[in-house]
Amino acid sequence: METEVLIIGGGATGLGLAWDLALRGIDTILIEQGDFGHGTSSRFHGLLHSGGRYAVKDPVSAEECIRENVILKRVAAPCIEDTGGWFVHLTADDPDYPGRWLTACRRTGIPVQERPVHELLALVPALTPKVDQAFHVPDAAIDGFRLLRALAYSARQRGVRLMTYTRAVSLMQKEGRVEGAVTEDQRTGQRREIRASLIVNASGPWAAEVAAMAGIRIDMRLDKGSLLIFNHRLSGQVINRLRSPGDADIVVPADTVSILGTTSVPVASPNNPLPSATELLHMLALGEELFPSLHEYRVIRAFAGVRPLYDADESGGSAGREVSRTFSLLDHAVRDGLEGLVSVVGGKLTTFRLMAEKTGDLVAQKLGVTVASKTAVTPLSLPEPRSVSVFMPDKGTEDAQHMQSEVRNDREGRKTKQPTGTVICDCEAVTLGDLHAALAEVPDGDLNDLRRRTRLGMGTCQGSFCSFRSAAALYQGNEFPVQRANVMLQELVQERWKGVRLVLWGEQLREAEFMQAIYKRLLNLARLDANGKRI
Amino acid sequence: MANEFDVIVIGAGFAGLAAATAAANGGRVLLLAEGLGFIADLPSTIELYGYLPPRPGHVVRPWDELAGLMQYRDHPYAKIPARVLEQSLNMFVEAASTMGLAYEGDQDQNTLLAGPAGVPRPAYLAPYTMAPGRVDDRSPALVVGFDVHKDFYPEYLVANLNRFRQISGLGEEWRAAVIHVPGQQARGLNSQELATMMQSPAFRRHVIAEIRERLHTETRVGFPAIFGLDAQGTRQVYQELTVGLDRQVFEIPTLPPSPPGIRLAGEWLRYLQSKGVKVSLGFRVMGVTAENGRVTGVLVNTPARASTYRCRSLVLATGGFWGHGLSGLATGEVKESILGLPVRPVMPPEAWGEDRVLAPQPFVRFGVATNAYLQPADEHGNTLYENVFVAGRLLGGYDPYEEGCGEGVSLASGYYAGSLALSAGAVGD
Repeated sequence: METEVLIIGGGATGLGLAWDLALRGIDTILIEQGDFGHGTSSRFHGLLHSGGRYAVKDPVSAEECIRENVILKRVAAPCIEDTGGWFVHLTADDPDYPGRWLTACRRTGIPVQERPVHELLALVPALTPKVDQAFHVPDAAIDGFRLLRALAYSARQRGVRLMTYTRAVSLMQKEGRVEGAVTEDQRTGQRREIRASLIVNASGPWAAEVAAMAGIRIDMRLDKGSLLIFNHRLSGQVINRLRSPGDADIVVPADTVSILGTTSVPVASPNNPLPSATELLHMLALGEELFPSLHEYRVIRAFAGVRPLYDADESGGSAGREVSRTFSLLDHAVRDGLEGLVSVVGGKLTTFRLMAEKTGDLVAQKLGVTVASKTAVTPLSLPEPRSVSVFMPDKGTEDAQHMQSEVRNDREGRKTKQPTGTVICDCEAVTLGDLHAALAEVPDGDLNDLRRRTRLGMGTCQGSFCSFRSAAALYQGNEFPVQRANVMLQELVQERWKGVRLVLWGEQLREAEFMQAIYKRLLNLARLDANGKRI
Repeated sequence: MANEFDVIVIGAGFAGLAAATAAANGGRVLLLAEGLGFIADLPSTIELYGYLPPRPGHVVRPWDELAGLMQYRDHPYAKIPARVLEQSLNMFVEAASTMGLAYEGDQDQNTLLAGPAGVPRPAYLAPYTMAPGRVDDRSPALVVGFDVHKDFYPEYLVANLNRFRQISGLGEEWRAAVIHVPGQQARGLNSQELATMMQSPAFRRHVIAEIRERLHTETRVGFPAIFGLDAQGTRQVYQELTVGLDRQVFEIPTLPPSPPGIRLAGEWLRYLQSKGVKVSLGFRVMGVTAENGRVTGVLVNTPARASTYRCRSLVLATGGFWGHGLSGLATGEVKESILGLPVRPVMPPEAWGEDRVLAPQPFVRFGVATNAYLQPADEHGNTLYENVFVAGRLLGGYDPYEEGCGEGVSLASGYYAGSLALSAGAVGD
């Protein structure tokens, strides 16, 4: 295969760049080792920062955040719930901090409004009464999965070739120039060469590994952040604790749930980050300072992400929350004398578009393209849903039913209707039509790929019902062997368990016993014929 | 006195219902429960002993294995005399038959029945609506489903079941047919909603006509378990489908809610009431009063003001974590919910679960330690309350989901606890 630009990494930065280059008319291929966002872009608390968190310590990052906050609310509106947010000061916290913070916000252009505490407590009754100052900021909730889906869909509409489950195994070099990459399909093992005029390493926490394939060293500061998901919205708006940034001081509402985060723990590897029990208990204790009845709420799962931090001065002195959240663009021709390779490192989800724009500028300049970035003014689009799950009163029931059904052939060749409005995932209101639409985007996709595109299984029951329903309904409507449906079913219940298993206490321990009854007593999944032998 | 009972049973799952049935034989009994627990979610078949993990394959003759099990001190079956286990099953079969829900078995052997995913599961007893669906004989069946039913997928079920039948050398394949349900909002219906629809004669006529068109030479027709929510309605649907299709018909379990479970629980409660048991559902037990190592009364959070019911003895059949009989804290403490009884085994919270969801999970074995008479005991074996008896999943020491013995343990321990509670109350006179 050949292309002008090969992007390695399908997180927000890589897909954002793909979208940026597509709008400039530059031929692009993107490869991602897992599914889109299987790394950091889906493992954060879903906060679209106002910049307030960084105003005091990291003003460059704060300025980037507030600019991008305004732009993304315009161009990525379907992925954002513009909840607004608050910085709350507790009586016991540093009394001098709010003053310094306000000055810093003013300097960085973050619009802050001090409001009466009782107004906030009326909006968020679960919050501690120990709040003595409350400031409203333009924080918002952003759905990472939906954002990636919109970026991928928009980029693909403009001709970008996107390849998931495709990993770069080596970079091809000739005479001081990177000429392409050898890739491997993670499912079939098939290898192929992709030749490119320019390769962009946008692999987030894997950036050092990719650069190492070209013999280049990048010093990343990998930093794990753990998060807890609660079964409903503790607050309809983002709550930040107004003090020097620390652990468990942000709560973000995300669709039907809330996310409490984070921690900051240096890690050696970007692969499979998991929260530790100590971290989770520590977060619960701190979270209770903000929400005193937190222990009574049900925690539905825990997860962790790896921040791909990069210290621009590379002196090696700082770590974790000390490292700036701004990003760096490394032109390896200038930095290391190697043509054809650029790395974009650091940054955060809120600033992904800016990272993509700046990287796009460098790419365009190298390729002699003069078209400027258009991502700040071009709205992203999402695929149209294939089912209408509301009853249409002017249509009459039979008509509405017909409009919401797909006619298919059953396995005996008879025409059968499959109602696409059937709700497969009750917690997140995902219909069969939604799953079909997502499957059209990833024809080889499994249920976890569909989950990331539809929120299937992400709600309170964590797959207890919808794992079986989705596997069985998709088998019934599609031509694939039953063993494939069985493998997908077992993989989804296992993937959901991974996060539930970390929070086996309270009401979630109760749900866990329910899962055992459903998966074993009722469905007997351990004896499901997933590999052609067992039953 | 209106509020005085010989035996109070807390919990209305298999264990609580069995305990109340046993105690109703001569005692004034109160059955208290917040909800129905698993009984309304699960198939209502009786699993006595289905698997002996890690041994592959299922147990064919559970009684042969039970003899060996009696040696494992922690397993609830080890505490229940074989004759009591037999009596409890006889009691259940007799009571169910009186309720109009006859249960059937294959002499003393397990029968393989299909689950919703088409994986067979050994049952010792099954309601007459399910027993004819055994999958381990040669006669083929047509499995029927409904296009709007989100909790039952006949093509998927049959595909898995046929792989089992093929591997087992069991002749003809089963077939699947999806019936169109006209005039339904396409949000999808659950089994309880379809069970209600099945009560309509017009809907049944539609179903019969559609199926007759799809039938080949099959001698049996399997349906999702939606025949009805009570015994009479179920009998009516069962008979009409049998006559209308001129075939043996049977039910196959679905995802919850489970009409056969709702049916059994409802009929059993009515049966108990007909035996003079007072039933109070929907209220949470707040605590007990106790004197000299005996529980003397139960405090219930009834509307307007709390009620106290006095008792001579108490059966705790409140279930495991799902039933709210046990609760676990993030700090690693596990408690029995009503009396705060100690829970065994004690292990650090990281060890409560296994990384693989389908591996045996330690937390499902947690329970209240008891002596040989199901009385709660401390770590030295001293009885904590001499008039309290523990039954069902709350006992712990076994894995009902892995071993396929949930209903068996609950019936036997419930029956035993109910009988012991009744005689303990009598001794107290």
